[in-house]
Amino acid sequence: MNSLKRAKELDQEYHFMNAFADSLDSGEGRLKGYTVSVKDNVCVKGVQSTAGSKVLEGYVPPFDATVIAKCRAEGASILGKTTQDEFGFGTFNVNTPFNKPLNPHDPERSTGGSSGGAACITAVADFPHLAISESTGGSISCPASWCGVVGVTPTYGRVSRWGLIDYANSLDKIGVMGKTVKEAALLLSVISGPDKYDSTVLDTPVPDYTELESVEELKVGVPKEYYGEGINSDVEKTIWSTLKKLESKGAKLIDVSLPHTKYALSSYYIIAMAEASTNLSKFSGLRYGLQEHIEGDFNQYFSKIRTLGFGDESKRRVMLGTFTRMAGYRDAYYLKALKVRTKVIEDFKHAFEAVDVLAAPTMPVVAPRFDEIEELEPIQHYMMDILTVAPNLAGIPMVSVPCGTSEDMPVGLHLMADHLQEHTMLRAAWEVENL
Amino acid sequence: MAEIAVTRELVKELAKAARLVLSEEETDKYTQQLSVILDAFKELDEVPTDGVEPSYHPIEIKDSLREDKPEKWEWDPLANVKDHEGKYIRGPSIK
Repeated sequence: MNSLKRAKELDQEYHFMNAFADSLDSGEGRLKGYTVSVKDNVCVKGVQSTAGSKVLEGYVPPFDATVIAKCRAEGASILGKTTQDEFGFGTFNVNTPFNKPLNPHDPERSTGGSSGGAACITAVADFPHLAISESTGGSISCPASWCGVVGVTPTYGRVSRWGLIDYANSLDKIGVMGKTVKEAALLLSVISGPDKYDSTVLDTPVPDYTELESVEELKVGVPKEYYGEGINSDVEKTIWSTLKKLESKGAKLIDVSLPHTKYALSSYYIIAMAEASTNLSKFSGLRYGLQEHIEGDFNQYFSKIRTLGFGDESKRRVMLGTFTRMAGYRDAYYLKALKVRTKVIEDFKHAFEAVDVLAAPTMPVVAPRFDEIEELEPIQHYMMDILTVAPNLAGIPMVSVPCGTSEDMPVGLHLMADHLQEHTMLRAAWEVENL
Repeated sequence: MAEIAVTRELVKELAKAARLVLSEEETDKYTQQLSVILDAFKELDEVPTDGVEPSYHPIEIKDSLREDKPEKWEWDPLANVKDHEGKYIRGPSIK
């Protein structure tokens, strides 16, 4: 059976796709034989790309994002678009009018978000498959952890963002998911590197990340702020059991402190919402997506489109972002958040003087049930990101690698490394995978 | 951060600036939610940041300019426009 037909069958059960390609092309190269699914906010030529929003319903990109062009050039078959929270605004993949994926380990639970569809198909695919996903504040690590797959968020600027439907430009990173570290490393090797259409891409040479071997005397930092209060004790037990096994293989565990961790959540949300509110101003119903019969003046028409097209969480973030950039409040909120971001980055830089990677639980709990999520207030949704926002704010690479279970649900170990140290980080993750 | 009272009037002002139309019920809901969220953000006041430079990006971004050479796009930028005449997009009137 071909992978398109098989993916459609699996989608009937798990609801991980928003749109399928009409057919699968393939070619020669490093990704020959692989079917690649693409998060819905990354443009694929000829396939509807909505970023999970009604405001982009019907939008069919006439071009491929750079990462897609790179995948095709290496022989990949592009399957279609995986579901996500609207523009990436969410932690449970429930903030979207389109498909809401079910956790493959328990269909009453969330896959996590915002790249929920990507993690879900990666877990259930029984054909060679890799996923293009994207993280702004933890949208790769969270669903990878809750679905039990490997999710890699690279250094900010390692991978071109051209063709990505932006959420927050100083935070967005296109990354990858796979069933194994080696497969994720393969896709990362393909999509990394310079792009003339994205001036923020770093020109540092791209190593072959699939060359995986043990790191001699690996120094693993254990940041105290990522353990204890607020972390489910059974999740923490699973993490510690993995760290102890790693230690028995020769890794050195070192206690470290990242004192500004507590403030990363507020800093992240202020910056992300400010950038999101400017990015979303382009959705006005003229050039793409939702377009209605034109009547009234431009304010009336734009307001009509945006009111119809944006979901509840998008409206909330656009208004909050508008507030934190307003004259009179900008310095107190937006500028303050950017300064706190500097302190968060300094914490990480200081820690990486002594360790190769930092290790922590990816998420404070296992995947919650949908009925539990319905009870949460918006602020409680944001607080779920407490462990993933700091490394995303600092733009350092991170990987969530499965390391056991709690309540029969997957638990992910989060490994974080200094800027551009993906290779060492992936080698450490490979070591964890082989424990 | 200054004490900020999130009132219905402020929420209406934000919605207007963001080109959103809110129902009375939504205005009430967002007034309550924005108040809780902005209140939580105040914890940043605990971090001394005098003399700290803001990080607009997480890493240093260098200017990366390409040669100033015209390039022809292979795709049609108006491909998704529903209402246009030739190369002109029809838009609402500007009063």
